[in-house]
Amino acid sequence: MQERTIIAQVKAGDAEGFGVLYDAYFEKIYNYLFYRTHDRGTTEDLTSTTFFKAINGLDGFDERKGNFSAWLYRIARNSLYDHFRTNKITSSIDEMEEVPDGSDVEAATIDREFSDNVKKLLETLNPDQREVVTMRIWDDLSYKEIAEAMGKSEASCKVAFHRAMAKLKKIAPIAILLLVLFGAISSRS
Amino acid sequence: MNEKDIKKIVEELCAADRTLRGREQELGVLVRGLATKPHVMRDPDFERTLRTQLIAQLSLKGAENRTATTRLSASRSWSFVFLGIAVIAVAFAAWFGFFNLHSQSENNSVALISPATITRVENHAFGPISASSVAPKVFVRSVMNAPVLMQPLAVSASGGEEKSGAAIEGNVASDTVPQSGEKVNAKMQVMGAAQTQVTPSIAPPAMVEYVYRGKAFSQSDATLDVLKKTTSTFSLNDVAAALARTGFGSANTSSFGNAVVTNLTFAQNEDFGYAVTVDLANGNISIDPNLDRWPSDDDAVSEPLSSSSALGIANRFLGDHAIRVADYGNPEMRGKGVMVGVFYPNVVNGMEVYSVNGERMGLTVEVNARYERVKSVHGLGVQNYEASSYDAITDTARIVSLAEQEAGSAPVSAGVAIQKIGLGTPVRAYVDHGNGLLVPAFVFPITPSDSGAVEVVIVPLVEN
Repeated sequence: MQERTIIAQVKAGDAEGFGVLYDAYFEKIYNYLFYRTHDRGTTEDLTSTTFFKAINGLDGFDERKGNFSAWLYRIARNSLYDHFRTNKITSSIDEMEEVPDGSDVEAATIDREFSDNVKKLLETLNPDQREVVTMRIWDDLSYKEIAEAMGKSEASCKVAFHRAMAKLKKIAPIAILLLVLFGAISSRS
Repeated sequence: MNEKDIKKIVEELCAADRTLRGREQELGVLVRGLATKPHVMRDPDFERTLRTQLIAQLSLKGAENRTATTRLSASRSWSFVFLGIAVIAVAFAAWFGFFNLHSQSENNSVALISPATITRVENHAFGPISASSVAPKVFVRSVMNAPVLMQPLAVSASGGEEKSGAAIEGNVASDTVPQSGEKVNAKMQVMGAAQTQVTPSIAPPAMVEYVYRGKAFSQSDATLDVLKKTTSTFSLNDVAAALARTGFGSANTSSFGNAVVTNLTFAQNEDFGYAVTVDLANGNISIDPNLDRWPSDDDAVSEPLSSSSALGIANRFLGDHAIRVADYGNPEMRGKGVMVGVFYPNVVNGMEVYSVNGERMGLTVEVNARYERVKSVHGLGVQNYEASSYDAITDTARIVSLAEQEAGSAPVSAGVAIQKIGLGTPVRAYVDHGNGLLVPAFVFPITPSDSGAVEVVIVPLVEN
């Protein structure tokens, strides 16, 4: 069933239909928030906030103005920024700390080392560039979705991404990247 | 991100910048490196619970025909006592999002009561206002804590509250006692409190004459909006459906006929916990101590709280529980001693709201001085209204006349002392006439304010 049809049914009162949307987007939204908060409790709170805002605002959602995915990410992004503002966190990158839950400590440790390197790279970008890069690469969003979520034009998001990649390519020695990459892969194997 | 995705991104980059052609491998390594995401920790129980709560919320939302605008945040650490109706409350506790216990939840923009909304409906939608006896009349309020100039007149209102005051200075002949009693009685009937009883005063008050001493004012609106609070109850079937989704199983609710849930109570099972009563029918919430978990000596003498301390405690409590105060006016301190009240006047459309007894309505937060904790919150209500246009009085002379005459229109016997009391320039407000009806009105302050008898005179502005 098409997403548009499901949304129409939910708007008409089919509460169970929202379960389909939830199943499709829970992991994406949760991950989006976790990548940027690195705290499970905060992520759960923000995920709750996002979905409850979504069901409360669903009547006002107009698919002619954008797709559901981008709309949901926009709510998540706003919730995240509210969190940053309230807690006086200037950047999600600043909070890039995570604690493995014990189930896969080794993998988590490797990921953390990896994340540290990525963090250093991302810190060199301006906030808009960083956001476009992470939304494009981490969240696998299209430029159209990123543009809608960020309230910018698609063209400006593309430009921001290209400039970010050009900058990263200059400052990130390929050799180091390869070393990190293969080091991690060999450790995993 | 898989290799296909990485290749796609590299292609996009090369398409946008041809100078990158031939360097696809380097770009691929860069993208692959950036694609290293933090290790995600996820609790499957949270995912399931949130799903259930969302669907339950949507079910309830549909059940009340999408009039509910309350919001919710899921909380993972509830610790409620579930007794009797509290079983039902668990679904609604989530729905109302009250006990958001997670320490990091305060940023969630969750409000216990949603922002005020006013929806316009057709003219005269609430029926003839005269049927609600809100035709131009004057509501007077006995002064509380007014200086007693002679002898207090004790008034026992229908709510059982003892009010004192209303004493007028002057020498009065003994045969004026019955008249004085009649006079006060007449005023109380105007207030619309049929059960009001007047205890004869020991010494009779003088007669009062009200004289307008304010500035010139105008009321040029030919029509004014009467507001009616919109609230909803839920059918038992809807509740049962919500409960079934939250794991409480199903129940044959059809055997109860057209049952609706009108109120519910849930309690916080921890020291200094609270009991929350939700009056769905009237759209009100009250928070009281869960007496099983509060110390019984909280009324013992203690150091008095300063106003700033009490205000800080009240504000912190409201903030911690995401209780929205944006629809209330600036807080005022009331009372001293063990219990200090912080009063946030209700403001609708920029105007304060008065009860038919002339008291300002609003949110009252009671702070216990001994334990420096909020003990209760009352007057918290849904702020959703429908607005319907009604014919209004525009003749200011008539408005003044109503205020002067209705406030003191009883006949004066010969020899009875007359005290003239001034009415100040009126301000616009709403008077809550019960049943959720807010009627636009002018509120005339008494000048000077400590002159006794009444504090304000209220003239509703809506014609029949």
